[in-house]
Amino acid sequence: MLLHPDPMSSISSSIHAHDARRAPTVLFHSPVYPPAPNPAAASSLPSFRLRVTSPKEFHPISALYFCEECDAIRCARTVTCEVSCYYCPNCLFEVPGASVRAQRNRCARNCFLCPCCTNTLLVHPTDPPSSLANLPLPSLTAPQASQGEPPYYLSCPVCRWDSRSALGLDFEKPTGLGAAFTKRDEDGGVAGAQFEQLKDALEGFLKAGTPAASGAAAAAPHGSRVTQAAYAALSRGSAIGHGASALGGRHAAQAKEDLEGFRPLHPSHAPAGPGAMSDKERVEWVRNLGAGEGEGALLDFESVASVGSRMQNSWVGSLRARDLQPTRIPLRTKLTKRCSTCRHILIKPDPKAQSTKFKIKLTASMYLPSLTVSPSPHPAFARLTPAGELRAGRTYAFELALANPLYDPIGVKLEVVRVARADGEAEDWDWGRGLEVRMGKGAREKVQVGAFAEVWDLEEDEEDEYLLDLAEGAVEGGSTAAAARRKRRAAREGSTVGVLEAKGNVTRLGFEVDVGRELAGQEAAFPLLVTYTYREDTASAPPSPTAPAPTSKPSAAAGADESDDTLKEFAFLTLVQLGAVAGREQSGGDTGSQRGSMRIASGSGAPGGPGAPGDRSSVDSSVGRAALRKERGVSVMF
Amino acid sequence: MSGYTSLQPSTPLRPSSSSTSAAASRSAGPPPATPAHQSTSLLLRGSGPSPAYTTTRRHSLYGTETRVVLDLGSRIWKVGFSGESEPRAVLVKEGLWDLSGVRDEVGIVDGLREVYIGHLQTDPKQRKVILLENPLLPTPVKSAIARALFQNLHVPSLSFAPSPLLSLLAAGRTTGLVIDVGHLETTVLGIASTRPLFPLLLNTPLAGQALTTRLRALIIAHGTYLPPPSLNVGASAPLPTRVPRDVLTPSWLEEAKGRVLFVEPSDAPPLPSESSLSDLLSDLPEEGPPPDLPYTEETDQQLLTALASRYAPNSATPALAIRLPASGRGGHVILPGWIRERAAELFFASTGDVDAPSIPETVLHALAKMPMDLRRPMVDNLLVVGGTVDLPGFVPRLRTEILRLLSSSSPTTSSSPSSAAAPPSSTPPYQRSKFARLAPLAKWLNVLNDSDPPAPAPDGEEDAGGLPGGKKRRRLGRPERDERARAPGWAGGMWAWVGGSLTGALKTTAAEVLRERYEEALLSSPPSFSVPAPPAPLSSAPPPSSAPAPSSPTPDHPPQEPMDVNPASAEEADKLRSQREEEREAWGCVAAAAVLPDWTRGKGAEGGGWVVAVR
Repeated sequence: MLLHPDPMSSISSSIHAHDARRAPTVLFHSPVYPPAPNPAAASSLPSFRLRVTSPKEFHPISALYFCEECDAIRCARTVTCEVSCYYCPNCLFEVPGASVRAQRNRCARNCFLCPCCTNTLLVHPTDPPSSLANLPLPSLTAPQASQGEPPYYLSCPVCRWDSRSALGLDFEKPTGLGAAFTKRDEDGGVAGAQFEQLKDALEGFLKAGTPAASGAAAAAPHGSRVTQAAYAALSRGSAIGHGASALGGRHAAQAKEDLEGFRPLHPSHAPAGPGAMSDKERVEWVRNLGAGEGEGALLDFESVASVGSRMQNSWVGSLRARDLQPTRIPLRTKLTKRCSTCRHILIKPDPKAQSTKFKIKLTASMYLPSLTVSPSPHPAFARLTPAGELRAGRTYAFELALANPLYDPIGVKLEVVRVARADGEAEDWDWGRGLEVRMGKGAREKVQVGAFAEVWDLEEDEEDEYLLDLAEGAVEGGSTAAAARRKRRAAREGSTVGVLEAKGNVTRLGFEVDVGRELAGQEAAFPLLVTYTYREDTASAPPSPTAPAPTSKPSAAAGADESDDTLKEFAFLTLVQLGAVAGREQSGGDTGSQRGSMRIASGSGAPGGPGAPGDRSSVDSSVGRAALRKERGVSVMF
Repeated sequence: MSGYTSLQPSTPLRPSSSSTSAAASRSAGPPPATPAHQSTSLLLRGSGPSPAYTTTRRHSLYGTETRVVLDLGSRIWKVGFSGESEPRAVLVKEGLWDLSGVRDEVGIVDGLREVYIGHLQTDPKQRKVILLENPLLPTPVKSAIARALFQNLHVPSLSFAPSPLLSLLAAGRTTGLVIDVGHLETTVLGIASTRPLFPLLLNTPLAGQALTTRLRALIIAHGTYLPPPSLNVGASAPLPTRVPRDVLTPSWLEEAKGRVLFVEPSDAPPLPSESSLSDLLSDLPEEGPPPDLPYTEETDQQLLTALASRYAPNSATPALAIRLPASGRGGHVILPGWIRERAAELFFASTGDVDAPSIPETVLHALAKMPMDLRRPMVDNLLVVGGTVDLPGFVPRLRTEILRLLSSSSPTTSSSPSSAAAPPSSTPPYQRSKFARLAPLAKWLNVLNDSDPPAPAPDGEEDAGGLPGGKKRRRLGRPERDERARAPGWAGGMWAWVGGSLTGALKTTAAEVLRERYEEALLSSPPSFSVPAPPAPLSSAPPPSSAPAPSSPTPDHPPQEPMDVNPASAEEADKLRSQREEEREAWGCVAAAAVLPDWTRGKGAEGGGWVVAVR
């Protein structure tokens, strides 16, 4: 069975999956209600993009789109969707739009879901009679022998439910089974008949009420027709109360006949529909659920239909699980997605159900540098708990890989910010609290990330060395001595902060994190504001030259090979999730963490593992969170 | 449905082409498809869909008049198209809001997008929406839903319809008392001739969630946990223990509640020594919960012990061992039979708590608040709806309990049928209990959707002697059983949705908020940036909500903060600007919320009240 993931469920599940995953991840921010395109605001620094209203606004970059018109990230919530094709996920039949409604958005062919386990049902033939076993070999090996014979029935390969033993349902033909179910769904069975009767009754009531209103208009104090109708209804009501029918006359009598005398087709005390039970029977049936099994028999409530399957019907259905009917498989859709602000098409799929191609696909990963975080293998730092959690009060080293999807080098500036929301009553989140992140000086300035190149364009080490130098801004007329280069590389060995490696279109940065003790039992995450500068080049398509200009900067950015092209800046907020921090009781029972905590108590504020902490304490210790907040005002309290 | 679409080209009133001017289409209106509707639709020329809406219509699978009916409960969402007898999807959506306000606004957006994209699979921009609302739905929640529908999904218009009225219409009545036992609370609302009597609404927190809490407490106190067998060879079977708190997941509790609980037809016979639960409670030694724990039902050992001693001895219901989900710790929980039959007693047992009166008490209080002449039509047309009602035996038991309260509050009626005719005023006031005035109503008591209605009473009781109005009264008096009004057997939680689908199919209307109007209200902002708080609504009505929504509609900064910031640097100035933009937007949201109808304050369309009007 080929199941295309439902667009919405894939998005939401990806969000939740990232919540639960232990591995460090970077999520990108996309506001639910994007600010209206406002040229005045867009021309200033992009702090307006930092309005975070919910933790759910962060997505993995694979779930994001990029609108060139608005020059903004769009997520599954900020696109509008149009159905380009309906299809059955089981048989991949493309359902024409005209029959979608009549078939209630479900497959009308042979595709059914098991009523018990919601797996796909198979059509099984009846086994040939056993006397066939006595037949000579040629007839046993004949193709007919393995085909079985009618009648056919539906069976579940997972939970062994089958329509013959459960419902006594079998079919003469193996195909077109959905037609019978479709017919039943169309007229709606008991519920449908009752609904139509109610509709007719109310219609008659309304029709009778309206002329009554015109007849009673003289007596009605109000003029508008709505109040007239209401007055008619009211006068009829008062006729009941006072036993007088002076108002309304024939029409009131008509209305009374239409609605007051309403007798439902299927009243609640007369059970109707398959497997219906009266209320007394229901009580007795539930009461005796485990009666024959002896005291404390290990039962499940599988003999009772699940709440979820029962509540799909608007009619009081059977309580018994064995009365449940198979359901036809719901159709899926392929969606054309547009930016909800500017109507620009972001995703246009190939309308064939079998195809997985896209005609238009503007995903964020084509425009934004992707960020990947992984724990550093450096031995001098604390290790994770066996459960893969961080330990509070330790220092960890991570590597951040920046990958550039553009065909030009970009300069990336990273700023650790703090996003918090203190006024929320239900949810209180405060990212960055308890974490001290040291990125190195280079990150606050420009980190150069090389241009994306196709694999066959990549050169060998020479290129890498050049890029590495480029990344550190150390290209001085291209006359760097090889010895000096080696020396620098040696100095970098063992370093965990700053640019570690620049290769191809990927630059790896190291950073260190002090996990505060107050984070025990919580998630360690900090927001990171990423600003990247790209060269606006009309020859290379992304990002769009027509975008409302972010800040255009003079081409004085550090280290970039300048040209006449203008440099543009784009900023976005990310959330770097480092993983869960072990709870107090876990770390308390762990001898390693006790040793760690003693070291912290005696140390000089630079806790760490068994390595020499001296070099780290000297590295950029002033770039603490508080300092960041104070000096640059990037901390935004939301 | 084809009768309601305006797609027939042969209809003479239909504008011949889409280029017809807006004025022309407004004067012609949506053409009636059948002659039967001609007179009614002519009444409605002005209030049809906007010309832009009809002329820019694209290919659509459904008739243009088919609406989307959303019944967004605090736990279960029912969604579908009008004119259909069953909703297209029923979803469990928990934790998005509660009675204090919105808890997860983004979740509301996600849920509605899932509804439209995943389940309805239709373009939200083409379809008007009927949104069913409980009368006590907090305004911030309503505002958040409207914001998601208008600003994210761009629906053309939104009609708010009070769900009790729609439930009543689904029963084929226009007058009656609707008892809605939902998830967070039970509301009792009288409706007279399609007019909901909002000022007389009463509610009690005893509803589905209270039952879940009680069930959890009872299982932890009186259930038994069987750990899963160990896989080690030779290990003995694990011993049964008390139920650990962490094995009972909310979803498991909901399943257990819906699958193995039921309601006994009558209260347990009193124990020899104690007469009622409250007596039993008072007799127990005062233990109280441990001081370090906040009060919950789980810590109330006194209550849990009292329940067990009251109900366990008389129970003949077999215990069940129910498997716990394997995703957790697994194993089984043994559920004593008396819990299965008596967990729902909290709905009917009077505890004397004025904040949480039992459901029968709430019903009688609501009846007592009714005007005299409405009490009888109300008590003759009780309708019990809501998801919790689907517990087997709930409705008959509720009727029994209401009758018991009525008869116990008037001792004369219970003694003999003949003295029932005596006017209640003959009893001295100090002897009458609070419901004594209502006691004569007992013989008219009729639950419309009673699944087990009582047998007809003997004719002698029918004679309501002593009442003024003699013969006419008798003619209008309690009818025979067969003549009594009955309602269809819709499932408990579906009444309101079916009613919404009916009104959508009949094109009756509630107050309709157009998107243009909403956006106008959103854009209207204070003249200068210097008025960040408190926002004032557009109309002269009181502010829509006194409780600020915890999410974005309120400014995220205290209002004085921008004054403290010295815009020295460009970044700070920019921050200030963005913050003021936020305030501006927040103000707009509140202003937009003022556009939404507010039933409890009489701010609905046409100056209050929801009226059935023919479209």
